[in-house]
Amino acid sequence: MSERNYWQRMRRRRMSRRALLGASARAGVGAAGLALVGCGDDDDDGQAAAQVQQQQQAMQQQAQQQAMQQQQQQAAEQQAQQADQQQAMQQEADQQQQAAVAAASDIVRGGTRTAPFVGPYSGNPPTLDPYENLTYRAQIPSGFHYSKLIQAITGREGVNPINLAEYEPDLSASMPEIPDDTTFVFQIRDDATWHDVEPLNGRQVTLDDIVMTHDRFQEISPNAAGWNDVVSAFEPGEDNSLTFKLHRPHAPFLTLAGSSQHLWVIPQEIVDDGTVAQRPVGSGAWIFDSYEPDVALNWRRNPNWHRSNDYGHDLPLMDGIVATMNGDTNVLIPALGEGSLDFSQLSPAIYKQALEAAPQIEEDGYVFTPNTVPGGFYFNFSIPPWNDVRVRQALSLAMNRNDILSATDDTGRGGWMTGISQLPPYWMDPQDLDKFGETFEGEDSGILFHRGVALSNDEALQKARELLSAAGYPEGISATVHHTPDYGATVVNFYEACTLSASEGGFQFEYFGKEYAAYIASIFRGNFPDDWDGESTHLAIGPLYGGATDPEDLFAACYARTSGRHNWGSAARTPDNIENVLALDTGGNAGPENWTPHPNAAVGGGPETDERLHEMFDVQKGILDLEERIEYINDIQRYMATKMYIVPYTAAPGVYAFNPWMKQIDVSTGQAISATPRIWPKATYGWGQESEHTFMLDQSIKDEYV
Amino acid sequence: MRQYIFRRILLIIPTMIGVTMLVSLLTQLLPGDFIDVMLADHVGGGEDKEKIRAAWEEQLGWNDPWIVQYGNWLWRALQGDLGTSFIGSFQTVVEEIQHRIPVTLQLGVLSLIVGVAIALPVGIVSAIKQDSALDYVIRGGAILALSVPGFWLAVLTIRIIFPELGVPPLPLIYQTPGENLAENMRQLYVPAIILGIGLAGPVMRLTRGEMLEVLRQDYVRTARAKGLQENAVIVRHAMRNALIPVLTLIGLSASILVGGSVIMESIFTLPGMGLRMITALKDRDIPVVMGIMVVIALVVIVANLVIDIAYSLVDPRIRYN
Repeated sequence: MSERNYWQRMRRRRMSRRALLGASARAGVGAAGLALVGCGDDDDDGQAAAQVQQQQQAMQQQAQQQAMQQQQQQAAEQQAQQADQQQAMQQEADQQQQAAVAAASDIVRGGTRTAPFVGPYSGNPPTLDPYENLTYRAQIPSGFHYSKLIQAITGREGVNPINLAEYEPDLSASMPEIPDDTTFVFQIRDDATWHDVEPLNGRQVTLDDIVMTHDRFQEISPNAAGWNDVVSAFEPGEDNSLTFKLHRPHAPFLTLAGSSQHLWVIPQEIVDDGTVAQRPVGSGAWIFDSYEPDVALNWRRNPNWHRSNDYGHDLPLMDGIVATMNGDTNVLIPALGEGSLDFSQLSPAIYKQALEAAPQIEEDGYVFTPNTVPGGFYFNFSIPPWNDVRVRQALSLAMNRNDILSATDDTGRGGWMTGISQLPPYWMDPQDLDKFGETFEGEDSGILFHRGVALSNDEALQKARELLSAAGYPEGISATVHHTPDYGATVVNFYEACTLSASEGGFQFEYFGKEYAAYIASIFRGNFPDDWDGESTHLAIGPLYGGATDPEDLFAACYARTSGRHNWGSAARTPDNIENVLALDTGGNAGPENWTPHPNAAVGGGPETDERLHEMFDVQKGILDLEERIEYINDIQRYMATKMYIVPYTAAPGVYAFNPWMKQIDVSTGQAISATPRIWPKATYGWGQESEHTFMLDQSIKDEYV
Repeated sequence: MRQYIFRRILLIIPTMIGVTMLVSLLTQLLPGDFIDVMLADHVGGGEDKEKIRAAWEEQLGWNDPWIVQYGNWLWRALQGDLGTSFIGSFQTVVEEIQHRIPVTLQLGVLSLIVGVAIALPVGIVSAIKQDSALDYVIRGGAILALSVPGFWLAVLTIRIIFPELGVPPLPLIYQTPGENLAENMRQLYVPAIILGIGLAGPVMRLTRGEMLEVLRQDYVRTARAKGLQENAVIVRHAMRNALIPVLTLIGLSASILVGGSVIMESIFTLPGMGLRMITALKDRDIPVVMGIMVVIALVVIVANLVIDIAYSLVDPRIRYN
């Protein structure tokens, strides 16, 4: 909504200037009229009348002359003002041109960058059709070759690269007009073309293309249901405009429209010929070249990219992109050090190894981003003991988050997270207890995070044991924690650190790892099979959602009753079908016909029956004032902390290492961005590919090192 | 002999049916399937997800009983159609294998050459110099080669040995010998040496043991008594007999190298069959798993057949009826 306010302010300011000019012109004419009226007389003598008439005529002429002089004077003043403005604009343009010329000498074109697809999390995309699968491995490639209506602002000195609320036009000619709170009108640009390869051959991107892509999104995307909860109508106009009508005011609509999980504009031709999943053709900055599973994805520069016109630079700067698939850190780190990788995402646990292996990368070559993936211990609330809030609170108190960070985060920049992780600008840090609050509406809230900080170790552990005793577990709780080791060894080490920490508070956990597909098919969806580890203890640890750009994404995906995800989301969980939900939850993953209620099933401890929580979720998305919404979402975080529906673990930062020859230019000035963090991305499923058109690879610097 | 070979070839058919049936059955028992992988990040309601699943299951014929599904696969396989990858490449499985098998074979052959080139001479020398200092060193080395895991040696090489020696990093993008032979060999030589060392350990020990036994045989003593030079005794009389069991081991190792180079392919970014097998298993891309298993099973069967035939060539006493 900040964009919207911005545009409204701009409109108001322009209107005021026009009104001022009009009013001054009207005042001049009015003054002349008043002079005439004030000189009137009712004498009826003929001569006198003639004299008077002559005088009146003379006065009228004089008044007219004065009025004309005034008008001429005003016109002259206006002309002078316009001339001044033109001169100022000319000077500004000259300065910009001079700056661009000066900067042009710093701009280096060419080169093909090589970097792992997603650092240590690299792996084969299951498909290149972003509508078919929402995994980051399917979404990230799309950012190279496809366009959207709007996209996150990137490549601007001073623009916070992690602020998720700032967008700029992409296929839209400008940011949308917003005539009322539920109407967004996009004007589609007329200079965008598809890539000059078969079967599109560089034809123009039209409104019809966007309509067809929207239809296909509706037909197959798993995100269509969420989109339709927000958007009531989609209306193409005669004037190349596209109107979105919303059911009700929806604060994060622009975030939704610019997100990398929704409206990628895909040509119908490659859908019709069946190549959309393996040979995408788009209108983005990069032209897809090839994909060899287990080896690499390749793109080359799009010489006709429409947004080059916006910037006045010939973008993108590099000739090509190679995204390698090997995510083995034993390969990545030496390759980064030796320069065969130009940059790489890292995990915080290997940051120090990278520092040693790549001494040429100085401090400003590392970019750190907040952790936007919420995660922690999560539960099946139908089963004791997890339906008792005191148990979950005790688990949170038992975790010494700073100890976990010191054991697992080499960067020293990690922090704590809440139920929405560290999603900017909505996240509130529980470490800031003054702001977060020890309690919320009389219930323990922020204080539940504070073992070893606001509470001493002994105080926190004592409190945890008291909570466990009150819940009926004075001897503590032994349980099996389900997880998948397929997020990598460093993640497993992290889980173990969490477990060790919790054990001091009376939680004796054993790990039970399942490979990714099995985990996703069962635990992640809330089905805890008993036949895996004896009678399941219905407890898991792991990340919940990876692509959020707004808290609403998380609320809808992770916590809403209608979500299709994880433990309390395997079915629509309205209170009137809670019995069915329990049946779905607790019987294993063999199939609906075999799902039976668990003998220990209990009702009422989880978010599915928390009316307050769902009311808060509903209210927040309708709050259009950004600051007010942030405040309200802060309250949601406080409230969620009292309930501990997930017990958040810690938030290690995203780490990206750039060799010295990789730089980024500011698209408005053409100068290299110097501020730190200077390069990386919106912390979304985009991971940064949306900013790579502004990257440059300085081969002369690379030659010095490699 | 021809009859024997014919019978063995005929035996391949039921063996292959047994292997593929077993693999197919085991894949049915795996928890999760590729639809789960595709719907992992599904955000919509449960009903939508079930609709998508039902449509896919219908399309793939998963509603049929397992034996019908297997029968359909077998019928298509007999016509040369091993199916199409569910996810990832979307190539046919035959295309995938055609693309990948040269990489795996190249690595396997190179490893075999390295392993045999080390094991045979060293094993023979060790036997000839029995209980000497050299013998102890060689035997120690063989035990080390047997016990050190290949992946550990690979990581040690990449992370410590190469940086210390200033060896440039290995390529991250595979190039075929036709595209760039030098780069191809630069990418392959380290995994080939590591796999070869792993193979050399047992082959060297077996060679030594067999040589020691043969060297004590009467005919060797007779050859020496006839005044033959020691080289002739070793090469023409002892080695030929000692190598028969060694050939068996090498033959079996060859089949292991085809299917067992998964870790090396993964670490060194070699797009071979082993790496594809792992990614296909993770993604539950069953047609690819089945296809690669067919190839591995065929290689094992054919390798055993070739070894059996080689026996008769190496040892004239062996005759097959």
